[in-house]
Amino acid sequence: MMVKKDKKLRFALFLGCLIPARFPRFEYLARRLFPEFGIELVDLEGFSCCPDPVRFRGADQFTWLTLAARNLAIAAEENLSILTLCPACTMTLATASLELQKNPELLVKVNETLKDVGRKLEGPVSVRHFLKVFYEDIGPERLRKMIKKPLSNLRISYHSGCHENNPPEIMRFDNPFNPKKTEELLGALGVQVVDYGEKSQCCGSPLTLDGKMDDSLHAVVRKVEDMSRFGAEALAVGCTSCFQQFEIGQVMAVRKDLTGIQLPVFHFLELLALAMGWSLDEIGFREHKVRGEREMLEARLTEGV
Amino acid sequence: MITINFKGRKNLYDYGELRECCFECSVCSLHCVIQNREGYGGRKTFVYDLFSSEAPQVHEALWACSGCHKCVDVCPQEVDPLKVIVSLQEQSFEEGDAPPYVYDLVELVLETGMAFPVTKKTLKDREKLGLPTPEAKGIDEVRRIARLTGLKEKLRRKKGGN
Repeated sequence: MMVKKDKKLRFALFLGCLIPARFPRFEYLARRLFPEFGIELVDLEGFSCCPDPVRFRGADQFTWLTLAARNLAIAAEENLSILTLCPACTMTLATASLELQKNPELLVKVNETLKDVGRKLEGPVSVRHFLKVFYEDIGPERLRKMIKKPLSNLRISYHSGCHENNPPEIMRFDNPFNPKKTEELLGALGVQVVDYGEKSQCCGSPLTLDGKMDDSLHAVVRKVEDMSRFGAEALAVGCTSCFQQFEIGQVMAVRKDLTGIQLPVFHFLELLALAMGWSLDEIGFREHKVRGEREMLEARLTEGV
Repeated sequence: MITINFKGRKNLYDYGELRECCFECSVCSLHCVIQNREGYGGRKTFVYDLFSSEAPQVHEALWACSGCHKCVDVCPQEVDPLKVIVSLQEQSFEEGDAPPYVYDLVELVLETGMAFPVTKKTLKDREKLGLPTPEAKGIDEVRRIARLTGLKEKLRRKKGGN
């Protein structure tokens, strides 16, 4: 079943940096899968890093806003809304769009700089993470009907990334402390979503970047053990930075004897592909760092099918 | 109650003095990633520790903040720790006190347009998947903007090694 071709399902694809540089297979999955859901992705020339909403923003907020405004202007020149694969990019671009709309004086100042490179941001630009697009434009019920192979035997906990839903007035999507909409989307793929206690906790990646590996692993173990305690056999994320942190963090934590538990990590795009009938090999599972539970996963994916 | 003192303080008055006030009720610590750092716990919170520091712009955990905004969401005192943290980070960067990796990240963005390096493995993986090579087509514009805003100049203030 195809979604009827609809103008609003045509987007400028904003890839960001982490996915094209380190996880191109997620880009591949999005490019291959989204058209099956009626989502047309348009590649535009000239996008730069969003820029990064933590370190780059902390370095210089005005340049951060101006570079984000430049990216927005590129999409606006083609009359396109932006679809992102990365929550951090979403947060940067959506913040810039909203802040500059709210503060016309700042927009004038930003445009004075952009004029020098031949760009201009006229008004707000819609920027949405793909999960928000799936929820709002397709919806869990339609998604459920469109998938080919429900992942009914997988028990998975969802970890929500820091910028996925926050700040709420900018992201305007799910509850950052208890992301039920994303869990509904997972439910639509057939997944048995496992609730757990440490839901609002960060994956710990900022501590890794800041050189505090032991503290960072503490954050990973705390979450993974809690998910496991509640019965999860794997964990899912919508953020690639969190994906990397849980993959590397779990390998490191076991190496350091901090825990005996390892949960396979899935990006939502990988689960979407599995639910569309792709195999573990086809989604690139061999490249995962936590892959010891492959047999269990194979069994779960074939049980009762 | 304590009041934080730093150069950017005056810029925050628009948001009200209350936003600089924290009495360590610990609610923010329930969601803050920095609380995983050794030394922090229920009775010692990062936000209070930062706010009561004599030199908050060089606080050792200043750049470990994920910018998740949850401290702002939950604070019953309506403090806006994130606003203060970002302002402190800007001061720290401008004065050359930010960790070297922050300058390196900004430099990489200005050099390549991306915050992560494109390696040979990246190119190989992309080719295998039939994906195009990432090209920084707007990089001249990015560099020009960074010169105009003064960011390029600030990069020179980086201190210390990697």
